[in-house]
Amino acid sequence: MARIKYYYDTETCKYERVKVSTWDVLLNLLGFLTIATILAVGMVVGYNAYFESPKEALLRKENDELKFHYDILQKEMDNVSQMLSALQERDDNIYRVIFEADPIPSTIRTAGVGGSERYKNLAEKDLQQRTLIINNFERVDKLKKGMYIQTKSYDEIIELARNKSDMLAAIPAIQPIQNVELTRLASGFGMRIHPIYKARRMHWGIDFSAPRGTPIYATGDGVVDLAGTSLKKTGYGNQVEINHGYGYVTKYAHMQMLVVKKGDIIKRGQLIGYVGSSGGSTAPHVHYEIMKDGKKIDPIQFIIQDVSDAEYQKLLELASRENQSLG
Amino acid sequence: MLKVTLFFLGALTLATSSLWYLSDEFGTPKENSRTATRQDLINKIEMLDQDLDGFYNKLDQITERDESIYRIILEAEPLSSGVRNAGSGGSEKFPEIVQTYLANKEKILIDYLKLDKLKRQLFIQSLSFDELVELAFERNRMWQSIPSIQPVDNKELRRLSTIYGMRFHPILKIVRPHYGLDFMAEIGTQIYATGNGVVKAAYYSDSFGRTVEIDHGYGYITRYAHMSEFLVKKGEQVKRGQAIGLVGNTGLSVSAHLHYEVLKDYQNVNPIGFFQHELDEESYALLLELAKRETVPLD
Repeated sequence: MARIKYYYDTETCKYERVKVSTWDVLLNLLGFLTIATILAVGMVVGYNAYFESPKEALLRKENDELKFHYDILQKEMDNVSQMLSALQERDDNIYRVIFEADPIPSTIRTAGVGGSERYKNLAEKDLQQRTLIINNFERVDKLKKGMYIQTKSYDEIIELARNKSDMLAAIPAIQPIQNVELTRLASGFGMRIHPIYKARRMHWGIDFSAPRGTPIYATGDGVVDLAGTSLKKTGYGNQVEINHGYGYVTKYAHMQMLVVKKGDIIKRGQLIGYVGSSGGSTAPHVHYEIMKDGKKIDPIQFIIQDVSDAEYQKLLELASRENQSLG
Repeated sequence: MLKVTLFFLGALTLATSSLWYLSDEFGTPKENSRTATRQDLINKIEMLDQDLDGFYNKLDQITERDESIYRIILEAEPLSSGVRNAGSGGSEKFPEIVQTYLANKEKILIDYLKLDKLKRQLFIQSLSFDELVELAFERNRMWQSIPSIQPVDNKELRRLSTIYGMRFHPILKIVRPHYGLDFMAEIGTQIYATGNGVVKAAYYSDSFGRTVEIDHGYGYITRYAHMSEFLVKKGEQVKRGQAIGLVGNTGLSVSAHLHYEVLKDYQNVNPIGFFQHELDEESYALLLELAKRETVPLD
């Protein structure tokens, strides 16, 4: 039974019931809540200052460790970054010593390179070159529109060759060695520094550097005009010249060994010899020339098959650098 | 008194249970700030990991050039992959991390291992460069030393007699070996060293007259005979193109000319093979034409 409280009212001389007014209740409640709040705040402050929940402790430990390791890793990263910069500089210096020119900026280095399988196919299978060429006609058209090929002579070729698949098969159109990653084009056509005389001289072809024994391929159908060393042209060492007809002759020099002889009939992509350093050469490479009607022209215009637009752009950049030739 | 105590206890209970509920639902302030810090650190480590991959890419590019360009041109053996992937340790190297209860300890451990490996590979690459730099300079030194120009100015090639081997001697009137090339020139014409080297000897002999011999290293020696004057002495270092003497008519000689020899490993070789680098195709063809018209040598 609830306790009922009474008080003695001195006026009525009776025990009167204690009346609990709403106001009273509210005040009590308010007081209660206030005390509770004060206690809560006190507990929070006290707790924060002196205690730690297990979860909080765990987090703190974890953070300390994370920060510890992060600081170490960060410092190591800085060290490594410095080592890497030093290494890049040495890389550039070695490049300069070998090529007597500044290294290629990395944007060009990483520009669109791909499709190594295409080159493997070319070398290892016995492809029907003619169908490949005809299929690549759209590519040639596109390249032309892209202004990569600017010479008038090439326009002439396109016109003439539209109906002449033979001519398309004969005209030089690929690189003479496998050049995956396009790293092998060392020096192009034009004024270059001679590696021995250190003086600028006309370099009449493109140098592709490669290890001795790398296979060299004919860049178009034709007949072998010259195979071996020539008394008149001793600077070229062991060489092969192929007559493609239509006024085109290609030359491949400084070979280590030939596998063709004068008079042999050749198809594009056929093995003709191996890279060496014979004749006036300072490093193993194949020196590749193209002559049109007896005049030496820039072979870079004749690398069109199996090269993407981005790859061709990169080749152009590499070939145009006025660096030191290899022979 | 009891009332007051009960009052307080009631308030305490209310306070405690509300706090409990609140911290369960929303987390304590400490928890929240620490959780934020934790996430921040985890993000930073993630970015570090990406930077690390970036470093690996750069190293790959450098290695690529090393292997596919420099070592090809310098004809140096490629480093085996065993050497390049120099045995980095496994996780035994980092026991402090392996034993923690960190949630991301795998991630962090991987980063340590990657960094360790990267440092080793950078070191190997730098050793590789040590080798290549040496090779590149050595190669240049060699090309600067080997005889490869004509010993006198001979732009029109009119001065060169290419008779080499057994031929009729003009003074002794018998067939004798002639293992050098003759350059016709006026007395006093400058003679140049055809490659970098050291003057091995400067002497007078009855047959060769005033003669200088230069040792170029790599087995090559050049000899310049019948000179009228010495411009260098024994032991002197010379560079290609440096004047070493003047053309004369000393020794067994019909008229003023330079007799030039090249020896490889002490055997005479035809010097004609040692300066056609200087000549382009047309000049060399001209040379051969001129050679056809020669008759009697000069010594």
